[in-house]
Amino acid sequence: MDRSRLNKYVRFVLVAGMVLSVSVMAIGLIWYAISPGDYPDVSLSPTDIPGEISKGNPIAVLDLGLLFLIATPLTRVIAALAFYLLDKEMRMAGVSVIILVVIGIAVVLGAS
Amino acid sequence: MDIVIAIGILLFSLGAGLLGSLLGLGGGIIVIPVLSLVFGFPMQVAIGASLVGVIATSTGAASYYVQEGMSNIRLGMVLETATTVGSVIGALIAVYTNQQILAVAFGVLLVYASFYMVRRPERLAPPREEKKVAFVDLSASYTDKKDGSEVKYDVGRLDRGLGASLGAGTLSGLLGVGGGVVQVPVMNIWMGAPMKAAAATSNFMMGITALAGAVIYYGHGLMSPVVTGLVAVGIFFGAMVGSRVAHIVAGISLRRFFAVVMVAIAILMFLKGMGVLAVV
Repeated sequence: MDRSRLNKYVRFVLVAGMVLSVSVMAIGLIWYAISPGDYPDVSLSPTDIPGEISKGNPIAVLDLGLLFLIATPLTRVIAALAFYLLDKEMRMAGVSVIILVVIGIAVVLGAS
Repeated sequence: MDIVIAIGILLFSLGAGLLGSLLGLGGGIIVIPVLSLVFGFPMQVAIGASLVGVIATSTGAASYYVQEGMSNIRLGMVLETATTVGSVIGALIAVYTNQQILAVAFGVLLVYASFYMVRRPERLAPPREEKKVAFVDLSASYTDKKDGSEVKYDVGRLDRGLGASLGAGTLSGLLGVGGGVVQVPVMNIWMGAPMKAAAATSNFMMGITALAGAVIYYGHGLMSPVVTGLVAVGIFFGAMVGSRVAHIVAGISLRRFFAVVMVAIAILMFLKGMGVLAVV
């Protein structure tokens, strides 16, 4: 495995996710501050977010930024898994899968 | 939410991010007591917001350390198998725990962190004991910017490292911190990674560790989008400024001063936990 290549792609995922999520959250906060409506400060279901954004709900924008941020470290694990599989480093690929399974369990436990 | 409160949270989070990076701690250890004691939010809401702040700062710091080759990605990912499990366990405990108990637990963490911040135990030489052969090659190298030399190292005692990582992850999910106060000395003193690599690898790991816990808080409706957004954006930009001025202002006197402040905050958290102090 060319470690510098892995570093490069992991860094790209982290920077892209960071810029996207912090920008969306900053927009959501400004939107919330100037929005005339009174929106309850409660997280929405991920499936409701697109519809609520189209209705102009700033909480949905904040939730979207939150989900982008949460997805960023997850995406870098998926990117690392892809690299390890391509390089046939099955043990490190297994490590990546274990992390993803634990996160999957957390999602299920969180939703239940 | 009142705009004055929102601005207050944003400013405190900026300060927490700035101080956190100057002191070598995550912003969460500062922002959680502020949200709980000053703004009166439940501990679980403060912890959930802090975990997202940890993801934001970890992502920012890790992107730099990965580019510099300081983070040992393999070591970090192997240890993440334990920190994520610990984080889920910690978050599940926190969700169903009385917030007064969480306040006392956080007070204990503050006292430990204040001692850690002043003492900063560090192993300069590799451990003497014979290293166990790890199931994957976890050796790495980086270029020390101080003198341009290449530092090569190997790590051992993976069993101990995984056990401690489970504990660090539990601490993260339970109390909303990154877990670096446990993870860095473990990687350095027990596993033999140089301090700079241990700190960079710990930063890299914090994002996924905090994510595992944050998902539980999000799913249980304990994440306030506005508070979380203010904390994440504030800590992120505060940490950005802090990392750029750290070499100018950071020093032992600053760390000693804030160690005293943290012990004082710990006392307030104990009082809150015992029901003596409600909300300031």
